[in-house]
Formats: sequence, structure tokens, C-alpha cells
Amino acid sequence: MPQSDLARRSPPDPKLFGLRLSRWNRTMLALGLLAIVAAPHLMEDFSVFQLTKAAIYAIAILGLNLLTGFNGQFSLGHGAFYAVGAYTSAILMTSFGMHYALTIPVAALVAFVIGFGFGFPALRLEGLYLALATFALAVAAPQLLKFSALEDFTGGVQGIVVPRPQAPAWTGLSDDAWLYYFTVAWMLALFVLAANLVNARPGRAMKAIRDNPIAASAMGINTPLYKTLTFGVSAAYTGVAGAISAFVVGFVAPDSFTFFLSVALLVGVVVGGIGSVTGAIFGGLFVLYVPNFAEEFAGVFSKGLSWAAYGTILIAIVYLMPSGLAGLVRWLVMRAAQPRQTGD
Amino acid sequence: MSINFGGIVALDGVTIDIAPGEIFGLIGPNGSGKTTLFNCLSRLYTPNSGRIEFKGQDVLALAPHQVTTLGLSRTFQNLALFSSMNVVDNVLVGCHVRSRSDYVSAALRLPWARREEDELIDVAWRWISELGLEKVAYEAVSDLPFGTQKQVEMTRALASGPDLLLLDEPAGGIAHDEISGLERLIRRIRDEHGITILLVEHNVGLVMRVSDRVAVLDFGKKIADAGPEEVQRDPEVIRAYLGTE
Repeated sequence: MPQSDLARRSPPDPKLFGLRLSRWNRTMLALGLLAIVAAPHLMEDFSVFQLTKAAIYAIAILGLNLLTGFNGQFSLGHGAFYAVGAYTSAILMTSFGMHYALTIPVAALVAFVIGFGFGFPALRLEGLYLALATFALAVAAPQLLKFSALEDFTGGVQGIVVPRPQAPAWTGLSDDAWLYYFTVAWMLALFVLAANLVNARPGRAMKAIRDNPIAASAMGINTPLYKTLTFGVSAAYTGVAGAISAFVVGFVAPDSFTFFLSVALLVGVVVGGIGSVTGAIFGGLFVLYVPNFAEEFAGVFSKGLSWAAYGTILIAIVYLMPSGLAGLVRWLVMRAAQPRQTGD
Repeated sequence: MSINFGGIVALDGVTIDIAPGEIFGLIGPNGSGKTTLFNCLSRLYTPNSGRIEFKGQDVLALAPHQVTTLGLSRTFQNLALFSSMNVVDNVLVGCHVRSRSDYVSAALRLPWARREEDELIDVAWRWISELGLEKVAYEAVSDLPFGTQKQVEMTRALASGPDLLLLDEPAGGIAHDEISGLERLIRRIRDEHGITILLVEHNVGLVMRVSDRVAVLDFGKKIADAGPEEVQRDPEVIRAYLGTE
């Protein structure tokens, strides 16, 4: 540890049921990792596949959260960046015979460039207007993918069938379990990078712009640069998610990337917790499982009401946990820790 | 320097010249153009004509965020804090211009970026203790009383390492008995840290006590510019501004 000549104070670390909060965090992290590693051994292949999809959504949601939650720029069009990633990966694998793992950095780069480029017109648009512009992106994406001039690459309306990667023999894993570990490794790495980012200089600049752009600029932050870069990084995250989904699902088609996907990602951000990195995992699980749950739940009365049930669940969540699931956890912890805080 | 907004002349040929190491007070009745001039200096507004020079550089040729890099930092009359962040993080944003870690180095926690972050935290804490904000350092700024928030703003501005600090109404909205503390603080910033200060303030008493020189604005024109005693005796100033007594 570097020596410091002044008395810095460390952040408050209240006790919770006799254990320091930082210890709790570490314990939960260890248990979480253990659960992630153990999961495929306790489930059927289809459930593992579902969980893989949740992890993919979590990556995409984290990407959108970097933009919306941490930088205050709305996007109703992240499904388009997801599609960019998915198609980049699918085309590279099928037309150019590239290894699936190598398509991911390329997809990230392509999505970054497009996102960064879109960040420039976005600079002139605030709030609702930016939401509308990105909405246009989302509704245009499926049609562009069907566009006949690009059919040789995109497969037009038919889409592209992508060969599903097989587990390397040395792992002894099923293909689904292998893809699960592959995806989760990417997810964890991207989460660590994002957590590092938002807690350091660039992340503070992003949040400062969100909270007060004029003051951010007065503090010497190059707001246009940070906003466009954040747009690019956000698109890259979502592009990686799309790329992984291409070969995990084994199929890309224009109608997999409708406006509904963009909205689902935004729902994931809000439900998980706006401006929370770990919240994106809750968001991913929610986006994947809750529509199914709603269907089963509504099925008791009438199959046709599943989206009404979903809507009810959403309203309940937004009403009961305004800062998302991550916010709820934080709130419960703070409440439990409150009486002890003063006794430090 | 002149500026007008849709035909309303807010500043009309005002020239001020601040010497290094000076505490320069700028006063004037409401709407006299104090804050407008201030916003021109920090590049929030662009004057229609005129020139702003700082350390030999043409400030008007710079983008707003580059002014801070040059060593000019400000506070806002009506608070402009990063309300969702705590005091430490607000002050760390103030350190933005004295650091350079970017997306890649921060995400990968490269050794130099970590070292830099460590140094920033030192700088931030030095100013936090200088202004006596240690106790609230990890509180969200939006939970703090108004006077404390003003101090956080000043801390944030100081953390950028300015040569010239622009204070926009630092006494506005703070309790009467806190004024003398503010007075000592302003002096200390100049005396111990060698920071030049431009003070825009409604509280004439405070300005007269701490300033080396005072300029008076009235309807966008400068009507006086001298030492505090002289300004207080100036008949035109008394008529325009102090004449209520």
C-alpha cells in the first residue's frame, strides 16, 4: 500500500448481523461464483441453455446501463446493436469460416464503431428526442437486415443458420454446459471491466455528465467526447451479447431483433437497477424468466392474458422497488445496518 | 467585453484586469451583469465582442472544458453539484483535469492508472480536510444542508488545482454566523495556496473586508474599480448601489 501523509477516511463499513458489510459482499460474491460454476451440474441441458441466454441478456443490459444508467442517455434502440453483433458473428462464421470465439472481438469493434458514430447525432438530442431517434434505429434494423441487396450476406428474410460450437473433448462437458461456461466467463470479465470503469475517473465523468452536464463541463470534462465514447462502449457490450447469442442459439433472423428486444433490454435495466452493475444480472434473469413465469401464472386463468400478467408484475416492481432489484437489496442492507452505524 | 441577449445589453464595454495573487471583488445591484461577466469568463456564454485573456492565452478560443485545464475554476451561484454522488466523488470529479486515465486503463486497472487514482484521492482528501468536510465525506451531497453543499462546490473547484478561482455568490443562502468563517477561508485560499480569487457577491460587507480591489457594475457598465475604501467613498457607487443608507 502506498504511504499517504494524510488521514484519509475509508468509506463507512457498517455491521450487518455481526459481520462487516465488506465481508458480506465478499461472501456473497464467493457464493454467487460457486452457484454459477455449479449450476450446469445441477440442471438439465435445456435449463443450462436458458441460463446461458440470461447471461447473454445480462451483458446486453449492462451495456445499455452504462449508457442510460451511468451516462443518462436514453436508448430504445439497443436491439439494433445486438443485431449488429449477432450478424457480424454469424456472417464471419458462415461466410468466412472464422472460429466462433474470434468473432466476438470483431463484433465488439463493429458495434463500437457504429455506436460511436451514432453518438454524434445523439449529442444534439436530449431525453425524449434521443429516445425517439434510437427508436427509429430499432424499427429500421430488421428491415435493413431483410434488404435484398444485402441478401448474399444476411440471408434476407430467412436469416442464417449458424453451426453450434461443440465442447472441446478435454472438458468432458456437454455442448450446452460448455457454451454456458464460455458465456459466463465473458459475462464475468465484462462485469469486472465495467465495475472498474464506473468507479474510476472515466466512470465519474460519465456520472457527472448524467447529473449535471454544465457543471461537468465546468470541471474540465470533455462532455461530447465522453458521451460518444460511452455510446460506443455501450454498443460494444450489447454487440458482444448479440455475437454470443448467434452461435448459442444457432440461428439469426431479422425478426429476432425487433423493437421488442430493445424494450426488453430497457426493462432489464430498470428492473435490475438503473446505474447498478450487478443489477444487470438480475435484469438478465428477469428478461428471460419472467415472461415464461407470467405465461404460466396467467395460464391458470387464460392463456391470452400472459402479457397482462407480465405488465402487472412490471408495475408492481417499479412501484415497490423504484431503484430496481439491486436497489432493493441495497436498501434492505442499509436498513438492517442502520442502528449499528453510529456505534463505530 | 460586451454581450447582449436578444437586444438587451447585459454587459457594455466592461474591462477588468485581475492581477495574480489578488482577491478581486465584483459587486453591483441585481441584474447589473455580474454573473453574466462571470459566465463569459468560464466560457458558459460567449460575448458578442471583446477579449478574455488568461495567462497570455485567448480564453475565447477554447472550448468550455479547456478553460479548467488552463487553471480557471468556478463555483455556481445556484448549486451545480453532482447530486447522486457523495462528497468524495464530487471532489474527485474536480480532479478530472489533473489526471488522464481513460476508459481502457481504468477498466483494466493498469498500474499507472491505479497510482494516479491513489494520488487523486490524496488531493481530494487534502481539500476535504482543508474545508472541514471529513465528517460528511461519504454522504450523498443531496442530503447535505445548503451551506455545506456550497462548501462542497468550493472544494470541488479547488481540487482542480486552479490559479484563478471564480466564486459566484459564496455567501448566498448561508447563515449569518457562517460569514466570518467564509471570510477566513477565502483569505486562506489566497494566502496559503496562492490562488487568485474573483469574488462575485451580494454581501457588500464581505467583499469590502476581503478584497484587495473592488469593481462595481451598474446596468452592464463598470462605474468604479479601485481599493475597497476608495470604492466605498465613490459618489457614483453610493448613488447607484450603496445609496440606500
